[in-house]
Amino acid sequence: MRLADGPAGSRVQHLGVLAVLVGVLLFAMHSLNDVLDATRPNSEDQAVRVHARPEFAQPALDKEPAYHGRPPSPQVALVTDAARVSDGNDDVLLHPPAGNLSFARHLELAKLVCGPLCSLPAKLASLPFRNLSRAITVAEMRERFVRTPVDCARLFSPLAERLFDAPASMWPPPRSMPDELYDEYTLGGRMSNSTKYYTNRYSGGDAMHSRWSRRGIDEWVAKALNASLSGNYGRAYAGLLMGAIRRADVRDKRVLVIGSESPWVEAVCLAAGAAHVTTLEYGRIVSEHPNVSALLPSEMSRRYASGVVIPPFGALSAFALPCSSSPALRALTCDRRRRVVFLH
Amino acid sequence: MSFSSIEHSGLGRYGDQLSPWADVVAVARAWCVSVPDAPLILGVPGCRYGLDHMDWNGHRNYGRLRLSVLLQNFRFENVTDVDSDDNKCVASLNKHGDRQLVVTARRLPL
Repeated sequence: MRLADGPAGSRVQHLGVLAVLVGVLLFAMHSLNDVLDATRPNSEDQAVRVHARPEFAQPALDKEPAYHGRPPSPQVALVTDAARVSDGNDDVLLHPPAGNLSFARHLELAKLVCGPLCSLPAKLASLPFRNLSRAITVAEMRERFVRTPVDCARLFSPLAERLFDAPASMWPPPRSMPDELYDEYTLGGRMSNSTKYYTNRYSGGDAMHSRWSRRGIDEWVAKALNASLSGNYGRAYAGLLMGAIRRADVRDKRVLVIGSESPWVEAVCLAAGAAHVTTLEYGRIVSEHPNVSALLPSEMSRRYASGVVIPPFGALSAFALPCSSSPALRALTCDRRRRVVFLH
Repeated sequence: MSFSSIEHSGLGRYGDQLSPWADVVAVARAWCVSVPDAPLILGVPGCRYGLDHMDWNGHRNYGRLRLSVLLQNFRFENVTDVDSDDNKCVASLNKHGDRQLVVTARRLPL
């Protein structure tokens, strides 16, 4: 039977053309959805990606992310106006307020300290990010590179010390994320969240291991050199870190370690040839090792503000403090006598 | 250099003040006291498949977005994990929050 002949055949031809058109339309809609998914920073994108990779069906990955309190607001622009934060009376940078601050006031002052750094760059807000079907790549991350103005004098100002270094007046911390800070913590709802509540207070007190002996550190250096150091996370992580540090080449350089409960990272750095390691830690640490020292964040801020005795990390030479955009801080950073920070 | 530290910054768990951007400030301060091209090595919770997640008030998990925000003014170089099995990584991260990515980057001048 020849279906193309006669009226019946013509109907079939028309149906065929219609089917092709519907197919093209469906394909176009599918492609459009793909494009929209790729630019839509919400849970739909995650749902699509998780479906494409069902073996990732783990809690908090395969479902709508758990949001705290209220629905996400992915359109919220967290971009700070850099000009605005440098205008007006910024004496508060030198003379921070005493007493308790509301969450909103704390945040407002924090933005004065860090400016555009503490905001979601517009470029990143527009890029897709919940792609669970593909591992992070170097090329992708380099594409996401953002250069943002930094005012170091503000970051080490008395106000910054008050906001970021001083112990909290509230204890214990709230069991749930404060509503006033939700958008800031989650980048406008782009980060899902859940609750795992802990209290381990030692900000302002002694660190977990407050005295680091020379012998103990040297023993760990020896272990790091023969790949038997466990550190806090086991040999695999100690080895991974050792590899990364060796590739970075810290030989004869000064290293800054941010946060340390026990000196295993410091030992790995020394094993990799670092000249000196300075640890920045909330709790007070006394190091008896000549090549390891420790600072409280507040001590580092004060040293930076006074312009002396901060080693330039990554090198053995002195370097210059950049001038601040703040009139209140300019005298501290632009005075030639204060600009060069000497190695101790 | 930092290993399993900055993800806790500003969450109040260790007696510090609540500050949503404290991790970014910590890395920016490191930028301030480092010479150009100085290496940055960070161990932070996360998996290479990159979910941005907040476990209040335990820690942040760093995916594409938060990592990019964190690395402002640093050139990303590499990310590694102890285990190539990403299913294990996600399961362990959800259960214990103890999976660390080791991220390396270089400080760039402004």
